[in-house]
Amino acid sequence: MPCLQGRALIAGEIAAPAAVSRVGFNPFASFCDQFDGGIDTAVCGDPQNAELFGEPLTGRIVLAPFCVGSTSAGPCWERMAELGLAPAGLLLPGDVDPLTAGGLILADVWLDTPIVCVDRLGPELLDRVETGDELRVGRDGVVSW
Amino acid sequence: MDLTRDERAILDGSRGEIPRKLLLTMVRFGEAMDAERLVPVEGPGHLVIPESKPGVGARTEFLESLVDAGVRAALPFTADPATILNETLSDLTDDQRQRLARAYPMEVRYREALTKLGLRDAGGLTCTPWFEEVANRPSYGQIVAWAESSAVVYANSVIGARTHRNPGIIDLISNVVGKTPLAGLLTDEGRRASWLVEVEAAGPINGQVLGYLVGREVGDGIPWVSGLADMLKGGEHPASGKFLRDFGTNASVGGGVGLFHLEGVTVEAKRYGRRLIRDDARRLTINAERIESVGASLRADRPVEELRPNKVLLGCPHLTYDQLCGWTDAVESELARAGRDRLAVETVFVAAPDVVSRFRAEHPGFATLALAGGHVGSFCLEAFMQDPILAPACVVTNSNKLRYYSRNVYMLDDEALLRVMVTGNAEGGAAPSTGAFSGTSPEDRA
Repeated sequence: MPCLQGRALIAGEIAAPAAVSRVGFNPFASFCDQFDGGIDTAVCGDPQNAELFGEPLTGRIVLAPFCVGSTSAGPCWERMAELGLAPAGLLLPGDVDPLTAGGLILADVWLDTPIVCVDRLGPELLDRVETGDELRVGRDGVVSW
Repeated sequence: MDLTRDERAILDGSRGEIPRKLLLTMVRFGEAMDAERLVPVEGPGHLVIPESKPGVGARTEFLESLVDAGVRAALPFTADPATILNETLSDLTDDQRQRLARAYPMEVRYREALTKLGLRDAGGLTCTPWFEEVANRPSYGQIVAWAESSAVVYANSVIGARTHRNPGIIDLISNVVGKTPLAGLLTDEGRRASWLVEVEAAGPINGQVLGYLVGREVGDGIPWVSGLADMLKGGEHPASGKFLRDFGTNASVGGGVGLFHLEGVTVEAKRYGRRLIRDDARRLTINAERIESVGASLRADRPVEELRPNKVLLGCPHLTYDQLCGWTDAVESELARAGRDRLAVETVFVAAPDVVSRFRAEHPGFATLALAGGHVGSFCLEAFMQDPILAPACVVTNSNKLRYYSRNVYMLDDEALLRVMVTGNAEGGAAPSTGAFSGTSPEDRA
């Protein structure tokens, strides 16, 4: 079973299908029209992200080379966690950026709703995982599929 | 992280649950960035969470819990533009106003809580806090805790202050805790360029297009950009302030750029030279064809006659005083040239409340603009376009940031926008642009 080891920034054990973006993932552009809730599943609403646009993200594990966009990412991640619409996890090949880190930490500390995040998984992450692959993430930051 | 005895005690709950969680948030934020320790915030903050809309602002209950715990920022902070609730847009219907009031039921409580936590005043609600009229401008080297992408990248790159790209809510927590992690953009090493971007194109170059292109390429890296010093005359060219704002805003939109260095132009590039480029920096060359190609992809993909825009929105980020005056003068001239006294398309200009106050007091065109049907306000165009109650069917603008974060927004150049405002279409010969209505203010030159 192939696996990669990263840093468990927000630790947790999850198993879910992957949603892979080959371009920077923009959480605000992806979720900003779904902040009112009233839906079962959030879908990626970022038209600039051709691979994920329209793809369901709730409960999935999002993989991206990095995250991009506005400093509104903090409330955005927290809101999606509050609504129960957030992805189950986020996997990154390099270092998590401050915007993403902050948003995920807010959801964990203030809502007790962890969105598992493992970074520093290495550049092969995006070469070896495809959208729909079933992934397992361990508390130790090991990702396997 | 290396924590002080006092910090350890707070994390153990010595001052209660709210201070514990506030500090825990900062410590974990620091750990994510491999920070050595927390350092004091040295200047007023700027926040990106001015409104109560869930997902955009903080949870009102969260803010009130901080107030109840006696938390307050030591230095008054500014914040991004307020909601549109108090604006007097002429075409806003009663139904829309009622729906807005229902959509923001917590707004009054939210603003009260934010004020108790240290919001300076309503004049400080803008995405351009460093403008002379607003006067939240950090000094070179000063450590601050700012959010709002366009403000962060400007503070770091053009002013030389030091701030993380703080996400909303973390910005508030940093300022009420009074500490921020020593890591990344706060350190000398963390401010070195990870990309060497060589621009091989003769000027003039559109700062929005180049910034967006660079951001798409470098992601959250730090670009050192060469090839622009002559065009910007080392930062002394009158257009350099606008170029730097446009470049930074769009580098943060296209990627996640929080700091850039323009060779021979920006403050640290001038001071330290190419020593700021890391040995392992990646290289990128951008030529004129690439810039033109990206620029074309950002512009409206169909003629104005087909778009039939029902609003022109200008001021994302907020306009400078000189831009506001320049646009007003251009509109007046074009109205006179076209023999009209009313704008054909509802047109909104937004700027910081303090800039609008100055404009109202000092510029005779304010009244003319109002009579012609133009609106000058201080709300956030991005929030306006993202609000399903408000968003018009079709908007034209000159802001790539607004285009990027909104639907049904199309980019036109300034001359075409002017024609649309006055005549409703983009045909005909508008008075040639002197650059005045997209001009710069002395205070935002490099």
